[in-house]
Amino acid sequence: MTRLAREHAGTQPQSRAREEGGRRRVRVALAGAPNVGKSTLFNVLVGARRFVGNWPGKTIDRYEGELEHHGVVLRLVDLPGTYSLSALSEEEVIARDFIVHEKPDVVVVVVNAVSLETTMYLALQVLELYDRVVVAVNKMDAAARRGLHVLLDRMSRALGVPVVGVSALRGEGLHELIESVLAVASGAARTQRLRLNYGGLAHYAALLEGELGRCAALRDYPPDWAAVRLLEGDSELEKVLAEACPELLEKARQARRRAEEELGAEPALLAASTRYAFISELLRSCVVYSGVARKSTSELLDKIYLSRLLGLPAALTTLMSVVVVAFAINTGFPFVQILEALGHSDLAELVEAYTLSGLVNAALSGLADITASTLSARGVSPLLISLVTEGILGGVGAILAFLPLIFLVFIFFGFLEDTGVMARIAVASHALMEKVRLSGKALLPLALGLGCNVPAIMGTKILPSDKEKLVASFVAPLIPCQARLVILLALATALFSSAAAALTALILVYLVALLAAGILTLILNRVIPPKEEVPELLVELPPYHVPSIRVIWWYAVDNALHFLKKAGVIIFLLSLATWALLRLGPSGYVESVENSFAYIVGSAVAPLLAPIGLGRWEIALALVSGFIAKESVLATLIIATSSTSAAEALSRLALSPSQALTLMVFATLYMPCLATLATFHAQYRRPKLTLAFVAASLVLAYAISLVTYIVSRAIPVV
Amino acid sequence: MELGVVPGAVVRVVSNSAGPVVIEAGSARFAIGRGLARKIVVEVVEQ
Repeated sequence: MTRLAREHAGTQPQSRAREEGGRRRVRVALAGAPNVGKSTLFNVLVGARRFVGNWPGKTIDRYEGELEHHGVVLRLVDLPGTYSLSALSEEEVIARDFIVHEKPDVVVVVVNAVSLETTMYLALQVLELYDRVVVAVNKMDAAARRGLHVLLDRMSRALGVPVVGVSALRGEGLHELIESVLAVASGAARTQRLRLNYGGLAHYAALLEGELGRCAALRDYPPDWAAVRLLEGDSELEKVLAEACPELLEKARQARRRAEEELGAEPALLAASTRYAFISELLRSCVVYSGVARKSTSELLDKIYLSRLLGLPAALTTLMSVVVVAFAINTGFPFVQILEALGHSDLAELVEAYTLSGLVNAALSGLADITASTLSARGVSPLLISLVTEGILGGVGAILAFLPLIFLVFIFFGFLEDTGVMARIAVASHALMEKVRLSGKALLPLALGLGCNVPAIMGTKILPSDKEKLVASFVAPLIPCQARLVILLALATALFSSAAAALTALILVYLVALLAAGILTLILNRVIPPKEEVPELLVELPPYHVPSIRVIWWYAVDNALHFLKKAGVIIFLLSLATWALLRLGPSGYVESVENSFAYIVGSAVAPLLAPIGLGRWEIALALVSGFIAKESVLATLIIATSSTSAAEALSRLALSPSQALTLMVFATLYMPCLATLATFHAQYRRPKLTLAFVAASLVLAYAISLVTYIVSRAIPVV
Repeated sequence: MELGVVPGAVVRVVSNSAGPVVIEAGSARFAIGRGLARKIVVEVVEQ
């Protein structure tokens, strides 16, 4: 009976803290519910020594990091944030499997001092499952401000493990936390698994526990814990039993039915009630209130965001103002356009030069010029110069040009998240998003898409179900990003004589794009299984708080690096390929695009575009090159028509207003740009899905452009 | 259930206009969709 050894696994000291290269290594897992400040704690502890990966076979990020403390190396794994270990969601399965199968030396459970009632539930489940645990009570400072005092020693005695108060944000209590972790790892602090008294349920659990010893597949789980979980109807454990010991599965189900009949209530409810009763008893003895928190500001904000009339407008206004500020910093929109309209075009140019993208572009083109002149002075062949300056530097530039924008968008996203406003926006917009069968949470990544589609796709990770993540990622590229706003502005002003017509066309294109996004969402919801799934909203509304610059900074840095690491190589290779298409032809290196492979492709594609009124090789070529970054559509049009400005290029093409409008629509909707595609592929890693992603956007763009072309020709006003 | 809404728990409805219902359980607030809210059986404890 090897089982017995584990059954009384009160402590298994020393053995697990291994010696490696003369230094002790301790493996620590960090668990905690969402909004307890677990990620902040992780970042404070490991600083720059952290690595991002994926949990095997999942789209959920796995953060690991290291820190050294008096010659001991602690390796931290940040488990996904979950409210429980019931294995109902992917995150819960990951967190539980890691603890059960990897058996870390210590599990640190982070709870929130401000909302102990809800965040202790996970801690309790970890304590019931595992013996080597340290509880970190975070946000002690915020709790103190609200007049809450947590009696840590008393709580520690009640739980049987060290309980440490910390403030991750202020870096308080970290030393003590690490000391406690090391004490538990070395066996110096004796800890034990928590056994709750499940009352009437305990009898059935004990009966089942005896049987479970016969199933070797359950070896990793504490038998008494597994027995209670099976009575609750734990689907992961049932899966294990169904595979390994089907006869026990039947026994477990019988036991559950008997318990339910004889106790007159569902075992799952009884077990949860027992845990909550334990928590409320624990908190009654360990938490002291002195004075009431000031809630006036919070109440006022919630009154606005959660009201029937003001909620949605307030949410949309908040989002839009954030997006416009991001636009203004990055490209100067709308200030540049306003200055131009007022006739101060010199001032407008100055402003544009000092925006984020203006500075990045200036730096990149300066670098390309210097490299080109240095190389040509040394007599390097034009092919090589072009390869270096346009291909390689262009590729690096394509990545760098995206970074500031992505960083910026995540700074603002992080700001909304950290203040607690984001949760309110999700709630306020839920009714609207439900119409296209997405939850309110999906509005946020999609709104990010107005800035850049890359963070939009990365942002879909916050969505609850796999299906919703996928649907939102598919739809995100249809949201006109800022690069497309630049093209649309240029096309609209060049193609339409009056400012009013240009503005109308611009607004029309945005509306068409949003409509297309809505249609695609509805279609996808019918195609992607599970078809009957209706998004159910469940959002915790954390108390509002003053944003912490450090938290937002980490959030943005993490995400920007993530993008660089995952999508960087793909973007670089694809932009090299596009360079080859534009600069190489049947006769080798070519100076003018008319001899390139791209021209051949453009001419081949052009007839396909004829039905939507765009059957010109120049346009086809521009669209092909727009794949690198949508901005290149304009540049290529200018080169291909041998013009000097966008206006000249377009007048040479002599497009009718309806053709112009169709070009704007098609350029907006067709094909996600390279960076977006790379991000999508990096996120899902299923080539067929990436192809479907491209195909869907092409088909949709074509269909909608066709409708636009036909309708706009039928209406004489346009 | 994991969020603190267990049989016998006292919750306060913060907002119940259009869209999701906002409830307060303990000191934490949650917004829950109407479908889910319908599945919670309550009895009025105090106005």
